[in-house]
Amino acid sequence: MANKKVNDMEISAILEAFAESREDKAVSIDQSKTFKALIVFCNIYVLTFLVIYFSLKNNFLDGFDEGLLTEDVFTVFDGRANVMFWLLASMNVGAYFNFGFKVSCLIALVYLLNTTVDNAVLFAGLISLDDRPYFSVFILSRPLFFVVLAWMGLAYKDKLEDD
Amino acid sequence: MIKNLHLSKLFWTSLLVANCYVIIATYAIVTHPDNTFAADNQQHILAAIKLTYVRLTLAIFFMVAYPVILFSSLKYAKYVTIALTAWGIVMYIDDYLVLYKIIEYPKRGLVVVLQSLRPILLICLIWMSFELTFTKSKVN
Repeated sequence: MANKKVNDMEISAILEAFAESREDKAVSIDQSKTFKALIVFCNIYVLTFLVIYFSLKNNFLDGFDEGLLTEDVFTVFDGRANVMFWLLASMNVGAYFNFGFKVSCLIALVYLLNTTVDNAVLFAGLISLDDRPYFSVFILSRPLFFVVLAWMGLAYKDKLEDD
Repeated sequence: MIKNLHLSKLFWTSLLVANCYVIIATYAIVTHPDNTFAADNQQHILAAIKLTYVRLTLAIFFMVAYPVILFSSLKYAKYVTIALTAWGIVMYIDDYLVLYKIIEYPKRGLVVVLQSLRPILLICLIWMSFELTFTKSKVN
């Protein structure tokens, strides 16, 4: 009958084979406190505005100018709310599995910059900072969110950090 | 100088196609006839033209700056290419899934051709991003 016991050499070979995956996992866990704070802020920021947007759309909140409640505007904001939700989801999944987080972060940043420019070009006449408090908070806090996204991408440690 | 980068011919072809696309798009937007705005949906076309002016200004800036970045640092060229690819895809998604009720591109022949060739531009950008990302060790 064959000897089924694993000797020291075989154990070390097995440990060596899994060393890389252990290291990857350790890196994914060992993120800085700054990064953790930024990703929590990012989640709260996006989810808060999604909740506010869907509350306004479904008339759960008052104080919204009827002039802005047009079908065209809702089409645009609906699409962007959905895209932002999926980008947030992909960033969270990327951070958890340590895969493609920086690319997701970069795409989210580019997407937000593009939508800001689009909004400025298309809805410049509709947006007034005095009349619409929810939108004012949203527009004025945008630069802060850009900084948070860029900082989060830079603060994230992944296995390709040295590239 | 070009050979030192060790990038494939497909990369340079993609870069050339992307540059040609931006140049032709600029020509189309600069020379668009005034009777474009006589259509029923002139507000939608005007919105598309305004948006295209802003986008093309940025695209021309990057078209000029890109060779400088590429020959200076491949690391930054990689990130710039990924950012430009993301921007191109984001604009495409935005136009067809989000802004489709607000903007409408003119029905002029050249604009129609450019719109139909837009996926080719995206494929070129995606290829450039992949090549700069996955052939990095060879480049080094």
